[in-house]
Amino acid sequence: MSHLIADRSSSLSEDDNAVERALIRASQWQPDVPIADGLLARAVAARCGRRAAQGRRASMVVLRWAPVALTVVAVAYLALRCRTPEAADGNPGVASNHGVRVAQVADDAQAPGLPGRMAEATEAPPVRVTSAGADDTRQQHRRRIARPWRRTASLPAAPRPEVAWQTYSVPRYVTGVSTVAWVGATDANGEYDVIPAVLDVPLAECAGERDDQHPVELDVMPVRHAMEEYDD
Amino acid sequence: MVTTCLNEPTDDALIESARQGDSGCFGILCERHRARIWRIAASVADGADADDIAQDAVIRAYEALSRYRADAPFGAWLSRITVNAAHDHRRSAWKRRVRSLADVREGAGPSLDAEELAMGRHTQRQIRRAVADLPERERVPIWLHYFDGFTVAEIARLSGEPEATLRSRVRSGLRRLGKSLSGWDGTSEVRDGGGLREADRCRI
Repeated sequence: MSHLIADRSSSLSEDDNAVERALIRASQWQPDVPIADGLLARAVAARCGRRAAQGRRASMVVLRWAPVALTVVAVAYLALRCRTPEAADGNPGVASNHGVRVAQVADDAQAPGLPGRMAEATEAPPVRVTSAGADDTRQQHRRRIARPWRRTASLPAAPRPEVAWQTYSVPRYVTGVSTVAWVGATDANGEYDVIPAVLDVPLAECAGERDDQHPVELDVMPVRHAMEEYDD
Repeated sequence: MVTTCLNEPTDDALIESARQGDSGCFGILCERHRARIWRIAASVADGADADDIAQDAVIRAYEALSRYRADAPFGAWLSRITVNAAHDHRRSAWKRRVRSLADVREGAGPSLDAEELAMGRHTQRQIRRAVADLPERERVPIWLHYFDGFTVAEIARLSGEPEATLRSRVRSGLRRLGKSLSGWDGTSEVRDGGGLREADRCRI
């Protein structure tokens, strides 16, 4: 116990010294019964065995359910991909195509100041859609259209006299790029405009590939009014 | 995994093998330090409870092996884990004894001086239990220093704290022990297994 003397603080009181002496005597205590042979090694082995068994069970669960999960995902994906705009037109919830089709689109010089060009249609009637820096509103809008979209379609075509839905034709892939967008288009009166717009597209339609130029007709509401109409 | 530890390897070699997933080597390491572990476990419990504490301690150590720093003695590290496991056992046991304490207190006799009490084996064990009941910051340095023989410098390396801090904690722990043991009664401790006043228990 020499180390105790060496480590002992000189500032110990008499009471502390008494306790310390009691501790030194208590340090000599030995158990009555020895520890069972191999007790600790068995505990470690059992623990590791349990962990390995748990790992095997987890693997079996994955193997058992993985094919089912993959099948569900594949079916859902195919269902989404097979849903064409034409098929959607037959759905009573889709906004009808009774509006004006877009005639032509402006080039870059005609639409200065746009944040960036995301897409350009090559097939007439083309429409250019550019991002409106709408990341924030985009999330809100995606949440909005994630609701049952029948509700959206059930809105009156013109909620107020100054708010009008207009139908534009855009490349299908645009619908997969953004649902809140700047839409540059010329309407049936020949007037060109670039408007921030909410594309009235159910999420199921947002599956266009980037090279898919097939025109899709969309009802478009100016975003300013859309926000007023759609906000709860 | 097949154990690759043969021919009396050092603690460091066993630790390294255990870290690489050889649980057999860790089992050998624990058996090598079994006396140290057992003395701690048997200080606070008997029979199957002591077995449980010892086994709980080595499993905790195995799971924490990646955090062991080789600059401190492995025995000290293992002791710290075991003392904490013993403390946890004492806490759970204390909860089961709360009711009986009041009865024991009524029959308590006169207090005895701590040094006078540290005479018999039973008393020695009660003092070890009292240390196991201390808060961790005082419990670990006192146990490792007085019961397991590690120097303050070694404990400082284990805890990563200055030696002066540890000495201060030891002094604080001694004072706390002194207060606990000054109210200790040799007959009550036989029945409740603790030997500490109720008020002292409540602080733990």
